[in-house]
Amino acid sequence: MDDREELNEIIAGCQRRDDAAFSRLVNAYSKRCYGYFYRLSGNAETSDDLLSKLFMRLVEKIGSFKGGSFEKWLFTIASNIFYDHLRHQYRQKRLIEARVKQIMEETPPRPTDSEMGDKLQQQLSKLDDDTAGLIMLRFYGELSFKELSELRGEPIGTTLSKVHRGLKKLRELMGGTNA
Amino acid sequence: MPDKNDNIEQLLGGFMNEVEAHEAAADIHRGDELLSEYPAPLPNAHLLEEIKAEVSRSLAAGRKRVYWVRRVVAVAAAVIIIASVMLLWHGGGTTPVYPGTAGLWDDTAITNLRAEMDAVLDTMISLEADEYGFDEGAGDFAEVELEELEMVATNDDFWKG
Repeated sequence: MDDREELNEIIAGCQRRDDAAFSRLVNAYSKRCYGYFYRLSGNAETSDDLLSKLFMRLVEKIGSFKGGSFEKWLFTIASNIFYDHLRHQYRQKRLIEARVKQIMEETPPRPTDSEMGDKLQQQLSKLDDDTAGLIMLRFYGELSFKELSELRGEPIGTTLSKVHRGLKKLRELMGGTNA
Repeated sequence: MPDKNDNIEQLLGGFMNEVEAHEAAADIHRGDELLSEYPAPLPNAHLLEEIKAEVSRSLAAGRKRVYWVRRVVAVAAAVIIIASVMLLWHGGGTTPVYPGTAGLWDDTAITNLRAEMDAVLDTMISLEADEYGFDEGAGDFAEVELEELEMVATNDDFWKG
């Protein structure tokens, strides 16, 4: 059985509300989705929450998957969940700012775990959210440029340009280590 | 490495000259290599077990709900059918209508019965469609609540001058 057939079998099982199929889906996609959330949030606890939220959302929505690229469908949901989280965080930040400024001074908007001494994580946070999101969506979602541009509702040239500029800037920030 | 359906150089060629496209494609490949060099941490096994357990609980709750919804709909359908048959049987108290003589049934009564049956079926279908209780707007309450809090905060500031 090839990967595609196996995936189709898993999806069909999930649509029949089969526990075992959902378990296989978690095994198949948790690493990539976690990586996506982690690289964008820079926080392990947030990534844990978002990953749980994603799979619960899949339980609700799997019936609406009608074929096509599963990765594109899955990462569209993941991306929506992440941006909902960002909006929520932003609103909360504004509220708290209005009330208790001093607390916010101790709480940066995108906290970084100590374990993330990882240089890439630090440099990634210097890119704008849109570009970082696009790069991570492409890398962890393994989406094509066509899929990315459809997902973002923008021309493919714009997507190409953003990814190119973003990756180039990231390499510069990293000191061009792998040039 | 996300190259699955892309010939990046060819794609870029649609927007720049050959040399630039070659260079930009190389930039993108080097960027991908950089991301591969720094893999993100993996989710821990305990988290994955928790997610699977939560999914399992949610599926079980969904099945239970569907079971009860089906029972309620079936009972409601039975009540409507019995009530309609009784109504037809007595023919409004003037002209008795007997089973086995369907051709003699009053057309309006049959139409009403069909309409009732359709309504029950529609309810059943819509309940089935929503059988796992997905509510797209579930997050909206939190949003509204935050907006309200925000307004309160703004008003407070206003009175403070």
